[in-house]
Amino acid sequence: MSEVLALLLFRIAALALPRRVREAVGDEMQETFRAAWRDRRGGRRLAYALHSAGDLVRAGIGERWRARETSTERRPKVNSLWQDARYAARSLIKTPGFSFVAVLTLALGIGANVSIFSIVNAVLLRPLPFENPEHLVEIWESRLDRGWTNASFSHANFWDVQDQNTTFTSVGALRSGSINLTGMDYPERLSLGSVSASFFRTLGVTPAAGRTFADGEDGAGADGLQAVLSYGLWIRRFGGDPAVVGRSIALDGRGHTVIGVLPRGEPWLDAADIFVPLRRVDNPDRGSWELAVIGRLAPGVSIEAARTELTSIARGIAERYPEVARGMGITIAPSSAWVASEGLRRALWILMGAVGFLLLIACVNLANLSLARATGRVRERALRAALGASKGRLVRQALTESMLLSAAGAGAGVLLAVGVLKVLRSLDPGGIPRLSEVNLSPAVLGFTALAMVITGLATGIIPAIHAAQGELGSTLREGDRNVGTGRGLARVRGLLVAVEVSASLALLIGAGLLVRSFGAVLGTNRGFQTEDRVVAEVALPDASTPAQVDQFLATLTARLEGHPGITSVAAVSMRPLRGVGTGMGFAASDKPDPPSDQVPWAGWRMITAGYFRTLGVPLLRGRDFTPADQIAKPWRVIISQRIADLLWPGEEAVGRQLIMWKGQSNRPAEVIGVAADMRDWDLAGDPSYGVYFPYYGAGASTIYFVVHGRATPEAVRPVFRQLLAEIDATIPLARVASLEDLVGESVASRRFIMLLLTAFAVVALLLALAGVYGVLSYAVSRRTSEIRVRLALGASPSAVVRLIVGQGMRPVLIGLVVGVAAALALTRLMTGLLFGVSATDLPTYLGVATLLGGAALVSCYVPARQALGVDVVAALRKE
Amino acid sequence: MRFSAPLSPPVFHVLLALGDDVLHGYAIMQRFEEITRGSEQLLPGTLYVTLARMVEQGLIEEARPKAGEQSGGAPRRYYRLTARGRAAGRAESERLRRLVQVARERAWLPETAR
Repeated sequence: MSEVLALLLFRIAALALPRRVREAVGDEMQETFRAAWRDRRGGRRLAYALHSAGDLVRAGIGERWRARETSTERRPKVNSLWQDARYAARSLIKTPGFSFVAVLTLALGIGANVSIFSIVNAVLLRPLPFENPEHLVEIWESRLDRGWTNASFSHANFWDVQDQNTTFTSVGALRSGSINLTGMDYPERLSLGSVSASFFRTLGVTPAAGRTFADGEDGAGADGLQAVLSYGLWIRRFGGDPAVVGRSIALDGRGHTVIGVLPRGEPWLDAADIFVPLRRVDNPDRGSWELAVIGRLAPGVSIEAARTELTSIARGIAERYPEVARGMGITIAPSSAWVASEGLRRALWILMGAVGFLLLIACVNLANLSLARATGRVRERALRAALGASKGRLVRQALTESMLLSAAGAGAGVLLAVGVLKVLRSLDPGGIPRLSEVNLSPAVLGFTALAMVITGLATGIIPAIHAAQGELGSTLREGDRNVGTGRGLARVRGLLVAVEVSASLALLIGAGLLVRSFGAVLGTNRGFQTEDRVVAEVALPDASTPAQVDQFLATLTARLEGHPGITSVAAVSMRPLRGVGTGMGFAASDKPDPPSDQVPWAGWRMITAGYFRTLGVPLLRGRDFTPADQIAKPWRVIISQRIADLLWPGEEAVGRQLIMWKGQSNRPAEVIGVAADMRDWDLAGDPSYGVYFPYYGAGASTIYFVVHGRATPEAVRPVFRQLLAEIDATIPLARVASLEDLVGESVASRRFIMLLLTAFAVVALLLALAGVYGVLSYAVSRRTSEIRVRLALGASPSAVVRLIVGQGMRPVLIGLVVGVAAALALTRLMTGLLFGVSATDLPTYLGVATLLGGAALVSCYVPARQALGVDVVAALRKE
Repeated sequence: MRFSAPLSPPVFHVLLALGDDVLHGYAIMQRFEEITRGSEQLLPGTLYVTLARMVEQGLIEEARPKAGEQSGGAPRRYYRLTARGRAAGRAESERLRRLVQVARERAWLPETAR
């Protein structure tokens, strides 16, 4: 039993207490319960929670009893409220069909809202797990001369900022890398964060065990052999044992002392498995951007003041080192953007809006149902009024009933949300931070309570007004036959139908656009083949020499190729669909230089011969690499078609000279081949600019092997394991996955958002159709005698059907028009999420409107047909 | 005598747990489990309702915690016995002792050593 559930149970039980007591001791009592619950373990917790809840209810009832005996002041009010509630409950129980449908409708609406709000709360609203996160900022270098606004920091520039600034309490830097953990039961490739000693202090983190880095441990003279474990690694590899602090572990074969363990949390704390000091090197490098930099503003300093100071520091650097730092600037942004990217924030708010619409539809449906029910009970109300019930009492009566329903709906909705969240967590698509932390927190329960009250009011208000307006005498005389078909009421009901049709249309259009985008992303021409391809990650120690890497590549490739079932094998330094990865500016040596802020940016990859063949990418011109290319001067490269078209349009690119790292090292290279284009950065982007050169192992630690053949991950993994063990038992195999799966992963968060929105839209559609059907069939049932008379007077059945369907469809059509307008306005917010389809995509609009209109037509036709089947005698007897 | 009427068990339990100490609700719960060696427990609902009632009846009163006992976190109310509470506890003990005496005479209970 989770603590959240235990507390929820306890809180619900606490409702048994009189409010006065609850207000006086409720919080403290709950804290005590929580502490006592935590003192217990396993099954005893469940028992304790149940006992405590039962005890609370008993104590609450006893206390109320005592209060009743000792005071009589508030009794009348309490009594009438209690009476209302009992009356409402009785009448709801008497109509189980209505109550069931009502609770189910509200449970869907509220459950969807609670689920999405829990995610929004965890991802967007919950504060970062750091001290005073509002003082935290992230800082980037900018190089406006090259069009970069958010570049990583170079080492030397970071140390300068650290030494020169006065507006920060501290700044810290993180470099990401990877390292091999050995000397334990099995070797493992870990993600590595090298951080300045100030990094965790800047964040304001209290370690879970031990300490974080101390000043000086990142100094030029320090040995750098301390390590801080991430919480995840600590649990996974060290069993959460606090005694790990002080132990020595082998990282890339060197002993490091574990000095501490980080708490769990995102972001930064999970940026790597393990952290070591980022040592301040004497040889400053201002041309290699690889540090993520954060800062904690000094008390009272604004972001603007910090920006001004940093800009002047950057200008100083640019003046002192004009050749490498020309045009340097600084970008600074608050920490509020750390957890969720702009795109994700937007997607989540869109989902929140979508479930808001869903709840609106659910409320409208229920209001309509209650209205139908209320008109059926006009006589009962009139009688009560005649017997002396005040109007206020009648209104309260109606509201009590809707509140009771919405409370039941909220209860069922929370249960639904618990299930939905469980499913979402198990589906975890990646790319949604803190998903594992999503739970029914107090904020979520508060939100639920709010949604419940709003729902109760929204669904109750119309029947309540209706109750207050009943004309007493005439109602009693006329019976209820004509009530509810009055013009005003019919208009209200039509309006409600129009509202739900328009809301569900807007939702469906949004979902339709996402579905089409998703199809477009998957259907886009990738350029590379995924079938029967597997990618295996192998991690060499960072300290490997180029000769060792070469030797390793040659040996492993040869052995793999000799393996039955494998057609071809190649290695690459960065697998497809991991973004741009390693990049460089480029230009042609025989063309005029572009302005420095318009230098195009290519992703570069090191590959072994056969890479294109293995991926199924045609080599359009020139040739593949041979061993001689590896050490040739100038370098020899293969470029993608798109680069050739950009630099040498309509000309032969092979044999030309390419300038690589344009504006930095300006290294020349000879083009020996042109490969067809691939979308290997991101499927939802343009084909990449790719520059490929022969694998040369300096500093390359993770190698991706692409295997083509009768290849599945299950078949390939043991082959790699065995071959690696033969070559060097300390080399870990990181990950083996089919290229199909990697494609799926790259679109997982897109799929997640699409599925959620589609699910909500389908529920909305069903609710809206139920609403259309319900209203019309109710109207028809009230008009059966009129219909019989029409038929008896010679109206053709088809004319009657047309009449009824026409009446039913009028609000639907209005709703469709309004819905299209709403969708046009709202889907503009979605443009960032769409791919290959515009926010005003006509086929989507038409298709969805037709679908909804058609379904509504069917829901109108059914009651119309039923009207024709009415037994004449029965209808006339009703008269 | 005023307090010869039986006290409800939770009230007596709180009196016993408090003794001469100044304790907050959670500590009272723990203390009670301790002195009954875990054979009986006070649950939070009963405890807090009882505490509120006992304050009303003047059996206990809110008090400052002993120096150094105030822990961090949410503020908690501390309680101690009043003279009236102590008297009520004594009277209830006396009442129970007489009842136990009867039980012994019925040989329901063995005469235990002190």
